[in-house]
Amino acid sequence: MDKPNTNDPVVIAVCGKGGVGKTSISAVMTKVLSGSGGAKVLAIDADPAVGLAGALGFSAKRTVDHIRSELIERIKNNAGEDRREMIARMDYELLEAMEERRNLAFLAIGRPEREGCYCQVNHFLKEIIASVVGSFDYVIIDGEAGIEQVNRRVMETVTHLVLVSDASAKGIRVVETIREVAREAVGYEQCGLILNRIRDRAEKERLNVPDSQMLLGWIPEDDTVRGYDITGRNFLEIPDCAMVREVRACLDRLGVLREPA
Amino acid sequence: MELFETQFGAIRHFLSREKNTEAVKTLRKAVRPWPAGLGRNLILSQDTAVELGNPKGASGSFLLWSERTTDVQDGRIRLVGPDLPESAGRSLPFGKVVMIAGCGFTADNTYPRYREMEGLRYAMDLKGYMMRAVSQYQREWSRVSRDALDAGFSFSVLGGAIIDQYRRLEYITAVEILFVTDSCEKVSALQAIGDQAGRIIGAMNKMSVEMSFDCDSCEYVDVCGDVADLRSMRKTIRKTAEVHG
Repeated sequence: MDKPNTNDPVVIAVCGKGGVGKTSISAVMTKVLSGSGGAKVLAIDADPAVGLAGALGFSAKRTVDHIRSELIERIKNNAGEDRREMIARMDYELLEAMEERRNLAFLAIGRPEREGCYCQVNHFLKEIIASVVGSFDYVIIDGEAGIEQVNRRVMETVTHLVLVSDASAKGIRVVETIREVAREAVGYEQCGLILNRIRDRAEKERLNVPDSQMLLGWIPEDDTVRGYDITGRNFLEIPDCAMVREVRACLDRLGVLREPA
Repeated sequence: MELFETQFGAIRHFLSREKNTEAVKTLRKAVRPWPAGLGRNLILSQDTAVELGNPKGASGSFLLWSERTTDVQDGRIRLVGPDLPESAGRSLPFGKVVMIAGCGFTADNTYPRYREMEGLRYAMDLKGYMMRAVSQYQREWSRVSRDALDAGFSFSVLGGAIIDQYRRLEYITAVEILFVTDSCEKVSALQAIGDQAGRIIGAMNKMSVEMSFDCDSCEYVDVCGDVADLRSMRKTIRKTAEVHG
């Protein structure tokens, strides 16, 4: 698989059924990529539950949805903002909402879009997010469960789709549906599947993974990760355990690592 | 049209007070053009050499214009406080005033011209300089990268780029810049002048966008009371509105 052009951002969306470990995988990917030669990484939490913030030790006090809602309030109150001012204001506030730690930045999308269309606001927001994304080497999006709700404000910029499933038949059905829908809706370059919380190789072999799915790897249930999950510790501090090694190998198979795994 | 006589006077007063303490430096406008950022203009804190006007601190940025050429000395850049090369690793409060002399401002064209001039700041694209601004708050937040600082970025470069940008508009005859980085108190003092200018812009915005002429209920009635040319602008807009039914 081709290695990425160093000037183009690699935008990875992590999607799958609820409860399969998307957030843990997104957090470990963030750890691996932000430790990769000082690359600039943006982690986007597109899940309304805002789990990635906690996993990476960010606060997510202000979300993109807060900015959007405030702007809509201003429009309702007839604040007389023109297009350029509206974009400038959103741009300023998006940067204010972005939390930073060394070469890693974090942005929470917040709740999904609510009442009203406000196409113009959403359009500007998409434009601004796309422009922010362009300033990073890697962007990791921890998506919402399912594809219908995948956040339209960020998914258009995705270059690599990572599907996550556990051993359940339902989990695998969901990722197959996501792949089919995303092929039309998201202009991604590569798509691959990670099987998570698999008991052993024998269990992995027994799973009925469709041929259409490119299997990036499988991750065993990992006590270290489980411990970090339970205690809510920062995944950026996780030691080099089986999950970290396997996620690194999956990223290499996806062709996004600028340094070999 | 003279909308900002009071604010030009207040800037002169601000500078004369600073001059007494010899805090005002006049910078030479950089001659060499600075390269463009070409889109990748987001600077993370780890790459930042100097931060200006962080939202947690003081920040103020506004535009004044006049038809009197005596108000503005073309190409002059003045600085109250430390320049960028001597501020590596710091986050500074930031005040910026762009003072413009122009010709042919009328009741009809002043508002569209203001929009055009205000819009120019968002088009600033300098390599290693990230600028985010909101005109409603009259705030500007920017970062200068380590690479840019190493390559010689300074207020001479920034001021020069701003001057060149405004001078491209045919009705602008002179541009002068004032930067303040000295202290939150001084930036706040400048911001108080900016707030007055913002009220005039707010009144102009309201009468142009909302076409509202009910002075009794208008929150800008005091501003129109103080600024004669704002009243004449309002009269012209009202007449035009009546003609067009």
